[in-house]
Amino acid sequence: MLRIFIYLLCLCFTLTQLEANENQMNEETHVHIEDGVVYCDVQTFNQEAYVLNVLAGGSSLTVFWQFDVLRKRSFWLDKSVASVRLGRQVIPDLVTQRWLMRDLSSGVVHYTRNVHVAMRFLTEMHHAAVVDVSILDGQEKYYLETQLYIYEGEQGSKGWFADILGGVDMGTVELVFPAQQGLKHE
Amino acid sequence: MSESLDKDRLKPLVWLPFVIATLLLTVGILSWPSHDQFGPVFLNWLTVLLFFILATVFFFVGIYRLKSTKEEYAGSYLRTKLVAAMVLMVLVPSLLLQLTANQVIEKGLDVWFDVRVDTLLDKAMSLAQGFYSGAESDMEKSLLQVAQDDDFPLEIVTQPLGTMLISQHLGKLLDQYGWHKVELFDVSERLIAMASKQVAGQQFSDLKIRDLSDTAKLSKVLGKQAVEHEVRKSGEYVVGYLPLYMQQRFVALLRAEIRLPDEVTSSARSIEADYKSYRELERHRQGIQEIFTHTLMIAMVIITCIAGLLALFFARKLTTPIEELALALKRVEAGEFDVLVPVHAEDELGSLARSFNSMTAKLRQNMEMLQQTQEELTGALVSSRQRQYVLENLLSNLQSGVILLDQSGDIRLMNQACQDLLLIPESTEKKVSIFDFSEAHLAPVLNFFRTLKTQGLDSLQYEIELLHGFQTIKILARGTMLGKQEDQLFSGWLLVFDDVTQLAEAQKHQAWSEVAQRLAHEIKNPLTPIKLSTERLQRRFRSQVDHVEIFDTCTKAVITQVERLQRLLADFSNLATLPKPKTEVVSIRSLLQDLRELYSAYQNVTFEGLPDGDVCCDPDQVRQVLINLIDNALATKTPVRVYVEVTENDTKFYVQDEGSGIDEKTQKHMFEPYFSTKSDGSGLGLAIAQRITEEHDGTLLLVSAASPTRFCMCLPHKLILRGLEEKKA
Repeated sequence: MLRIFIYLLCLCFTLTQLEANENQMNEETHVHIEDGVVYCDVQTFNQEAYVLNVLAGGSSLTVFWQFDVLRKRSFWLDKSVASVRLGRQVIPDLVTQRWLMRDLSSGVVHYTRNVHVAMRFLTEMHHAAVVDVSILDGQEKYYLETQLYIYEGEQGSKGWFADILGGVDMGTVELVFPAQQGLKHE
Repeated sequence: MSESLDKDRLKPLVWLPFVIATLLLTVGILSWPSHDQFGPVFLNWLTVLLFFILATVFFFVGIYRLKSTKEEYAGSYLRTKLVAAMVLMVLVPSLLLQLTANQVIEKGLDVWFDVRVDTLLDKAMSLAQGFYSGAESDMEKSLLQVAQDDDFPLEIVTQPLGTMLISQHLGKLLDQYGWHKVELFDVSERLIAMASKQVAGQQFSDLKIRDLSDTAKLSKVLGKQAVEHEVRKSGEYVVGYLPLYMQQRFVALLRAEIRLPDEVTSSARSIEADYKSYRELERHRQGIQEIFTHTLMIAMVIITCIAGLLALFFARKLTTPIEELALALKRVEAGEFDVLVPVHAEDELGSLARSFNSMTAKLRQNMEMLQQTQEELTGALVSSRQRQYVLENLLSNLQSGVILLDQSGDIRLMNQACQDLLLIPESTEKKVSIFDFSEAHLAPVLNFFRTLKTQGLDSLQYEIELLHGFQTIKILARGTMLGKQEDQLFSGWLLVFDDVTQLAEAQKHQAWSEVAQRLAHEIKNPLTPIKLSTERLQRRFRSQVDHVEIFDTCTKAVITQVERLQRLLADFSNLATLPKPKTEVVSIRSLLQDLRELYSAYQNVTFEGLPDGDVCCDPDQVRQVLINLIDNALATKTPVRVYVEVTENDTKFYVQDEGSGIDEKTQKHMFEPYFSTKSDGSGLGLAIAQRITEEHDGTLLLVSAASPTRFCMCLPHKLILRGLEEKKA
């Protein structure tokens, strides 16, 4: 009986892991460094249908892109070096067939009459400045972990635990610094 | 056996909590909330938490059950079964209810999200959108018409500022296109003219001059008319922007606005809100179903838990008296009769407990009585056993043979001495009745009993002889009736046997000795003068008689007969005054060597083998016995064999002849004194030989009566030891 129980648990965890791997295959994350700043281009294909459906249905959507620069350590807890959170929001107006797109980080607002544009506004993040390479140590290895939090509505109304459990992992990319990029050397 | 069967039958119940725990854990994992979960995720987490807690509880219940199974305390199985039954009674309807509710919810959602509703909402939405797009289209058309009027830019350029002409023109446009407000801005985006209509519900703030919006600026920059939709506190507006050019020079920007009717916009917004809500619900249809399912599931789990706890409470209440009864029964089984079961209630179980207490009290009383009786019986038995022991010891040590017979002649008791005395072989079947004495030599015993029984004598005593082989045993038999046959106290007969062979022999010897001594005394005395007188007569008167031959014959006959009488008397004297044997350890070889030399003249006497070894005896007396036996054998005038056989316990001297054998009558009397088959024999040879052998604790037997006739003198070896000890002493 105990063996069956352990087997079922292992099966559950294996399936969960397989699902997570499948999710990661549908995300794209690219990192590039310009003028000593690490920029990230990220796009999720998994969420497009869902976002499109929500926006066409007239519901607002708010997304937060979370970029974490982590040291490559195995056991230490203080892995995080820098963390950037960028928010975007789309508020549909169905009767006038316009979608208001708001960048929560800069406050810039504009309208679009194309729902696909609004969808891409939420599912893509281009040229997001993540960290200045000058604060990074050239002797260590770093990687960038990206997570996407999607909230239906104008605010994150699901409570604090949604941040812990509701994030969609966009994958992890190792930061490769070309020579003479202003890295800190000790 | 039945207990083990019950245990086997209940084994699956032991594993049941673990199965339930696994099922609950699986359901908990399956209830894990998804990312696109509609509504509060709290319910999902609550469900998961509940299932996990329940799984943990069942896991520990399982471990507790396993432990309690090993301990096997009474009532646990019954309690488990009761709880399981009650939980099942709640769980099964709850599950059915859950399934039914799920079906109902699914059907309800199908009705709710009916395609007709969907189409209707789409159409309503299209209508609202058409209204808004119509208003914008009208605005665009109006602006296009205004743009085609070349006089208006000229008028703006030529007419000085502050004149009413431009305002009048704007008023005309207002009326012509149905606008509610029109404004004109110069190159520097300053308001140079304005015309408006009084609209119901217009607020004071609406009269305030508004800055140009981004769309207006874009229109100005691009030189293209633009229309936008503005939502203000006072209502919703469609605003159009038209840049006015004169000879390709920007002269002014016209802003026209139409206030959309409130009732229409509110209806459109209401449609939009409903559409939005509907789409949201449609999108989360699965989630809604899950909310209902989870709510029902939580309710079911809580109800089941409450039912389980209640079941446990009632089962405990119900099984506690049974458990106490079972424990009490175990104690009673172990022999404790002072057990009292508490009476908890005035119901059937209480009645059972009272009955049990009453039963144990009665059992206790009975047991006390039984113990008392047992003690008395034990005392009596001990006393009886002691008596029996004494009697058995007495009987076993008794030289006399004793047989106790019951009324039917069955043997109740027979001591070892009796068996030895009556020569009952041990190898034969055990005698159960006196009538089993079927052996020939036991016939006198059976006759004795029959006489006693048939004649109904109180007691009977006479001497019987048992002939066993060549042995004749004289036994004094005494029989006594135990009780009287007329009474109920009659219990059988007691037979007592005593071996009187030696006594009779001794008495006989004694008698013969006395006779011999008297005869010797009375006859021997006159014999000598007779012989002397006869010899004197022979010497004195032989020459004087006429018939010398006759005289010689007569005198010789007298002398011979006197001599024979003297020898006879000497034998008598020997028999009467046989001395005690003077034993010593003698070599068998030397003993036989003497005899061989003695009979060396006889050709027909052969001594076979001269074995080594010693024998303890009086050599003269033993020699006399052997001479006696050899003489008797020589009388047959056949070859005589003398040989010795040394066994572990004794030395056997055999004397064998090949004569015609000994008849039965002779066998019976040959060891008696004065019995002889010879005309000139005294008949004392074998009697003396037997007496000498007996004096040596040995036996003289006729081993074979038929030809070849064989006598055996058996001398035990124990005499050697005794002789050695005497020698040492």
